[in-house]
Amino acid sequence: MALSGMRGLSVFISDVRNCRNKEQERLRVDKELGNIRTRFKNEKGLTPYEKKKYVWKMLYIYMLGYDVDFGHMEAVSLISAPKYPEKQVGYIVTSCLLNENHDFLRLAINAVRNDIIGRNETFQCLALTLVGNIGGREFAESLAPDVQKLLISSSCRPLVRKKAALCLLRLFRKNSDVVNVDGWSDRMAQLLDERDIGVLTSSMSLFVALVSNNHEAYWSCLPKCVKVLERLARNQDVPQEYTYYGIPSPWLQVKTMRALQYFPTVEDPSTRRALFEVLQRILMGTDVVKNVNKNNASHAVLFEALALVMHLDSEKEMMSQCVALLGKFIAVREPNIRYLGLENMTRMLMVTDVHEIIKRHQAQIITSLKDPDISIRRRSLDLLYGMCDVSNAKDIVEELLQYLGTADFAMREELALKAAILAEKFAPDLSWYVDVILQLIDKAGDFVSDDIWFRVVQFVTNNEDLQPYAALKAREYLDKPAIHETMVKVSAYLLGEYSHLLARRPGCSPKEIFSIIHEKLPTVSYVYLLDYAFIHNTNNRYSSFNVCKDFDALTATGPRIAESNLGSIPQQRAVEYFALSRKGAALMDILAEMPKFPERQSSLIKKAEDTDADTAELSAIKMRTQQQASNALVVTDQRPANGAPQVSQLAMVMVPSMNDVDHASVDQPVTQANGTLSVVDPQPSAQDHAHVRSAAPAADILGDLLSPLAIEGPPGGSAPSEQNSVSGHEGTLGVDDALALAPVGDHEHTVQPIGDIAERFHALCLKDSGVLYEDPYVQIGIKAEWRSHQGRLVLFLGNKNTAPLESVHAVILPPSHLKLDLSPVPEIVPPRAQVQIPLEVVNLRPSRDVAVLDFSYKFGTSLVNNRLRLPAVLNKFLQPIQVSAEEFFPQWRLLTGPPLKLQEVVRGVRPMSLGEMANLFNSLRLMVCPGLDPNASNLVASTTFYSESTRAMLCLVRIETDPADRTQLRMTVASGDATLTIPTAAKPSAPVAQPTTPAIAASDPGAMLAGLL
Amino acid sequence: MIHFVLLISRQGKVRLTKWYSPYSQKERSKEDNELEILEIIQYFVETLHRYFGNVCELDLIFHFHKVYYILDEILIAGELQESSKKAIHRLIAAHDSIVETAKVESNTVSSIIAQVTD
Repeated sequence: MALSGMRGLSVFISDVRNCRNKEQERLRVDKELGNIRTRFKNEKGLTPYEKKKYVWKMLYIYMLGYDVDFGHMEAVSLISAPKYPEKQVGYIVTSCLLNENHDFLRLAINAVRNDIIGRNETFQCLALTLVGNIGGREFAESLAPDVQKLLISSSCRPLVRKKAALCLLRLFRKNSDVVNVDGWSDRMAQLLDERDIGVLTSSMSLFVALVSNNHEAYWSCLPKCVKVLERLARNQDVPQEYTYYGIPSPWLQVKTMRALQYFPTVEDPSTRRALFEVLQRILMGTDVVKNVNKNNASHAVLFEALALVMHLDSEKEMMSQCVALLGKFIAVREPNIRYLGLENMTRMLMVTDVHEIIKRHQAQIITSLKDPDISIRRRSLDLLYGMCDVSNAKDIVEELLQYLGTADFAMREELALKAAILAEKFAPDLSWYVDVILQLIDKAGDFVSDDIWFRVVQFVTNNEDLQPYAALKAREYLDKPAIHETMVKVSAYLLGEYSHLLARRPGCSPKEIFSIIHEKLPTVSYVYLLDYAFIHNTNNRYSSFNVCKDFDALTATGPRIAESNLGSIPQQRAVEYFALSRKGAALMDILAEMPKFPERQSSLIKKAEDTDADTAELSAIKMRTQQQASNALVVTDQRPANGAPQVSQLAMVMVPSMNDVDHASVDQPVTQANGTLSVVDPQPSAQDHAHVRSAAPAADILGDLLSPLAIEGPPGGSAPSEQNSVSGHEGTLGVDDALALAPVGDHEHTVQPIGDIAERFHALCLKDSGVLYEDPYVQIGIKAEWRSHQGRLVLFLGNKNTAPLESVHAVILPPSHLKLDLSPVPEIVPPRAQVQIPLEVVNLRPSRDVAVLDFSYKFGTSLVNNRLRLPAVLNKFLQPIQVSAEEFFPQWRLLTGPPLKLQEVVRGVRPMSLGEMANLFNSLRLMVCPGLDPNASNLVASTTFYSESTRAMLCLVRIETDPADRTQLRMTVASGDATLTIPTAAKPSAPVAQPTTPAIAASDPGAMLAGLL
Repeated sequence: MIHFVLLISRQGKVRLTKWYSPYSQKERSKEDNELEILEIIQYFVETLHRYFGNVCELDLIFHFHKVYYILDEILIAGELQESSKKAIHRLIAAHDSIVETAKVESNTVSSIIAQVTD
C-alpha cells in the first residue's frame, strides 16, 4: 500500500488522532503546516517522494476542516510529473483543494490537455476525472473537442470513454454555450447502442443533460432508450457483474426512464407499445422483500417507472394500477417506501380521473398522520391537504383538528394553517367555518397566526347572516375558564362589533360583556387596552347612558393604568383612550361600525406555499393555488385601470380603520394633521411604544390579506395617528414625554435609497420619464408633459413590498416662481400597488430654483423621509425654435452687454465633441442652428422660454470652442429680458450658461453636465 | 446528481470530503430519485468493503488517499460512472500495481545511487 512507504504521513495522522482536544489538534496541525511551508520554500531540495508526502498531508489537513492557503502550486505542479505515482497524487489533491474558480487551475490546463491527448490511457483517465470534477469555463473552451473525440473514438477502451462521457457532461452542464453539441444526436444514438454497461451508464447521464436542454434534437434516440430499458428489464445480455441484488443495473434503468420523461410524448405506436410493456413488467414485477438494499434498488426503479407512467398520461387502467400499488406502499414497514408512496400519491393528484381512487385510501393516509416518522407525517398532511374537496372536507378537517391536540409542535402551525385554508375553501356553510377556526384557536392558539383570525373577522364582517352566530360562539368561548390570548382578541373583536345582536340573551347585556372581557383582559397584557376600543364600539350602539357609564369606568382605569407598571404599551393605550374619551361628539364617528372589507384573495394560501417551499417540490399546495375555485370568499383584485379613481378608492379604503380619529376631527386642517404626524417618530430607543405593535412582521403577513385591517386593525399600528391626535389636543395630559416626539431629521434612516438620487434627478432633467427615487420598499417614477409654461407631471408611487406602506405623505415645497398643484396623496399604499399622483406645474417667471418634494412614509418602526428635487427645471419650459440667419443676427446685435447679454469663459470642462454637445443641447430643448456661425468649431443655438409673466422669449446661445483645447469654452447668452438672461446665465440649465457653467455650478443639471463634460 | 460526499465517523470526525461543486438549483431540472442515490452510497460502501475486507474507520483514516481514488472511479461530476464492482476492482488493482512497480523501481534506483555515492 502506498502509505506504507510514507511513514511521516502515518505518524502525522496518528498524532492528530491522539490529540485529546481540538486545541491540541490545532497546535499539531499548525506545526505541520509550518513545517510544510518551510519545506516548500526551499523547493529545490525536495524529492518527488517528499513533495508527494507533503501534498497528501495538506489534503489531510484540508479535509479536517483547516484552511490550507498555500502549496496549491506544488499540488498543481505534480500533475506534470512524468511518473504515475506523483502525477496521480497531483491530480487527486488538486481536484480536492481547488475548485473551478481558482486561478492556479489555469496553470494546469496545458498539462491536463497533454495527458488527455497523449497515448497513455492511465494518464487520460486521471486527466478526465479532474476535468469532470472541477473543470470550469477555460477547460471547456480548450478541451471539449478533445474530450468529445475520446468519447466516440473506437480505439479507446470503455474505461476511458465512460470517463470522457461524464467529463463532457460536466463541461456541458457548466458551459453549454461553449461545448458544441450540434449534430450530436447521431453520435448519441450510436452511444446508446453501446454494449458495455459502464459506458452506457455514463452516456445515459450525458444524454439526460443533453435532452433536458433540447429534446427536439434527440427524437431519434428515443427508440434506443426504450431498447436499453427493454434489455435491462428483461435481463437480456446483462453481465452478472452489472446486476445489483439481482436487479440489472437499477441506476441505468432509472436514468433511462428519466431521459424518457424529457420527451413530451412517445408517438410511434410500436415504440409506445414496447415501452408500456416494459413499464407494465416493472410495475407488476416489484415486490416488497426483506433485504433493504434490494428493496431500495427495486423501488428506485419502480418509482421512476411510476413517474414515467404519469408523464406519459397513459390509460386510466394503468393509472389505477399505479394508485393501487402506491396504496400498498403506504402501508409497508419500510419507512422510505411509505414516504415515497405518500409523496408519489400526492403527485398523482395532478392526474385527472384518479382522485376517486386515491380517496379510497383516505383511512390509511389518515393513519399515516400518526406515523412515528415526522417526515412521513408531513407527507401525509400534504396529501390530505391536496386530496381534500367538498365531499370529504368535513372528515379531513375534523381529523386535522383532532390531530392538532397531539401533533408535534414543529407541525402545529402548518397544520393549523392548512386546516384553516381547507375550512375556508370547502366550507359547506360558513358557520361551520367559524366553528373550525374557533376550535383551532381554542386547541392550538399559539400556532394560529394572526392572519387566520383576521380572516375569520373579515368573513364575519362581510356576511351579515353570520354575525349573530359568530358573536354567540365568541360569547360561549368566553365562559371557558382559561382561554387563549388569541381567543380573547377574536371574541373581543366580534363581541365589540356584534354583541348588540345578542342583547336579549341572558349574559349578553353590554355590561355583562364588558365585564367578562374586562376580566379576561389582564391575561392579555399586550392587547390590554386595545380591546377597550372594541367595547367602545359596542357601547356606541346603546343608550348614551351606557356610554357614559362605561366611559366612566374607562376613564377611571385609564390614568390608573397609565401610572401602573404594566408596560409601556398598556400605559400608552390608556393615555390614548383616556384622551379619546374626552373628545365629545367627535367620538361618535370614531366608534362607527366597521364597514365591509374589500374582498381579497386569502394570503393564507400564499403563506402555506412559502412555508412549504422546503418540503416536497411538487406539493399539493401548488395545485391548490392552481385550482383556486374557492367557494368561500370571492377573489377580487381591486385595481382600477387608470390613476385617478384609484386614489379616491384608496382614500376610501382608509375609512374602516381605527384611524377614524383623523376623520373625526375633520374640522382640524388636514395638513396640520399630516404635519404633526410626520414628526412623530416611533423612536426605537425610547420605550418600545408603538413599535411593538406596528411591528413589521405582523404587517407583513397581513399585507395581502386585508390591508386596511392589517394596517389599522386589531394589533396593527394605529398608534402614531392616535398619538398624534392625543398630543395635538391633550397636551395638558403630560403625554408629550411619553410619546417621545422627535423631529424627522434626528432620525437615522435605516432605509437606503437604491441608486444615486442626484443622478436620477439629473437624468430626469434631460428626459421626461424615469425613476425619481427608489429604495427597497418604494419606487417613485415620473412622467412629464410640457407645453409652453405649463407642465403636467404624474408621480407613480409604487409599493414594492408585500406589506402596505403607511403614513405616506408627500408635500411639495414650491419655489416662488412655480405654481405647483399636487393631487391628494393616499396615506396608505397597498402591497404591490402603484398609485398615480398628478401634479400640475405653472411657470410664473424665470428662476433657477428647484421645487422639492418632501416625501415620507413609514416602514415598520422607522419613518423614511426624503427630500427629492423635482425635475421641473428651467429648461423644461423651453421650446426649441429654428432661427434663420436673417432673424438671428439682428437680434444678436440688438442685445448688447449685460444684463441682456452675458459672456463667460469656462475652463476645465470635460472634453466633448461638437456632436455630443449638440445632442446635449437638443435634450435641453435648444435648437442647434448649423451654419449660422462661420467658424465650424462654434455652436449656435436658439430657443424660446415660456413663463406666465414673460410669455415667449427668444434666447440665443453661442458656444465657442477651441479645437486645440477642448477643456475650455466661451459661451455667450442673450435674451430679450434681463430677468431671463440673468437667471438663465446663472443657471446651467438655462440656455445661457448651460454647457459652460456645468463645471462650476454644482447644482441640478449643472452637476449633470459637469459629469458629462 | 450528487453534490458532495462526506464520510463522517460516528464521533463526528470527518474522514473524507469531496465536492462536485454545486450546480445551482435552476440547473437541477427534476428531483433526484432518492432511493437511487441511497443505493449509490451503499454501492460505494460495498466497494470499500470488498477492497479493504470489511472496511473499518482505521482503513479510511490511514488510507484516505485510496478512498479518494476509489471514489473517483465510482463518481465523476456527481454521477455514477461504473456500477460493476468487479470492473472497479480490476482498475484499483491495476493502479496499485503501477504504484508498487514504481516504488520498486525507485528503490532500486536510489539504492544504486546510494551505492555509488558511498
